[in-house]
Amino acid sequence: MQLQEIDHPTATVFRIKGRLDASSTTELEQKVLLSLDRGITHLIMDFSELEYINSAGLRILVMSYQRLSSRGGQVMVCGVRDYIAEIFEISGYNRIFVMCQNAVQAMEIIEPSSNAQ
Amino acid sequence: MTATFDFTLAHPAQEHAALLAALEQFGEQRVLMPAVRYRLGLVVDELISNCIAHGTVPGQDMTIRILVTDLEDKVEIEITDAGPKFDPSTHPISRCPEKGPAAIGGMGLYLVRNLASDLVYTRGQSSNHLRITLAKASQEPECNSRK
Repeated sequence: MQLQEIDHPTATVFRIKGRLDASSTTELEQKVLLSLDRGITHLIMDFSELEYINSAGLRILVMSYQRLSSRGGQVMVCGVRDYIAEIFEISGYNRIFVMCQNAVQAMEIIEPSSNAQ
Repeated sequence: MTATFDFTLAHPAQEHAALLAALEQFGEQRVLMPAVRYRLGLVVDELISNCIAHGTVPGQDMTIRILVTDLEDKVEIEITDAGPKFDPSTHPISRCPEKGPAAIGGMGLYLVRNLASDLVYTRGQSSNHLRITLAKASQEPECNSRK
């Protein structure tokens, strides 16, 4: 897994490339927890280059949702490939996360005048 | 033409990643559709993770054998482990839950139950045997959902 983190005033974008599985979830979880502890309002997960995610990866998103929803924030999941989108549908998590086409669209939702990367 | 993938984990926690890499390679060699390859990897990943997390008894044999058969219209997965009795087919199934999202606890088995087109559990004398069938045809699509 390759992980890129981009900080914005109210949101952090995590761009993840490759496989998010048992060997890589710990690294992502630690970085997400640091962002949550810094007080961000929104978390944007750019999954356009994500090839694999399992329930351990989903757990990080749900944990983030639980923390952010109490402060009025959202978890935004972007660019999910069709074959991965299936598990968001069957779990019903596509109804609690904001599903976006890409990170730019996500930033436009939370900061309508911004030009995000 | 059918093909089989046969992998035995003597030390599941240490060999889990190698299994998934080999399985991904098998899927590529067989030119499985990305969705089928993903479901295959995910189902095996979740079941082996479950064995490692809950099926370990100190001092007891933890060998797990994974046999995958790629057939014309489906992929069959057989998993045999020497752990305590555990029947995943008793885990609730509710594809596209109507009452909000599924709980995160037990999500791995929930996904397995919903991705499998068939799942049969048998308990041998001292082992669990699970046969899971994955259909190659696309499954019921979206639940977003007016059904």
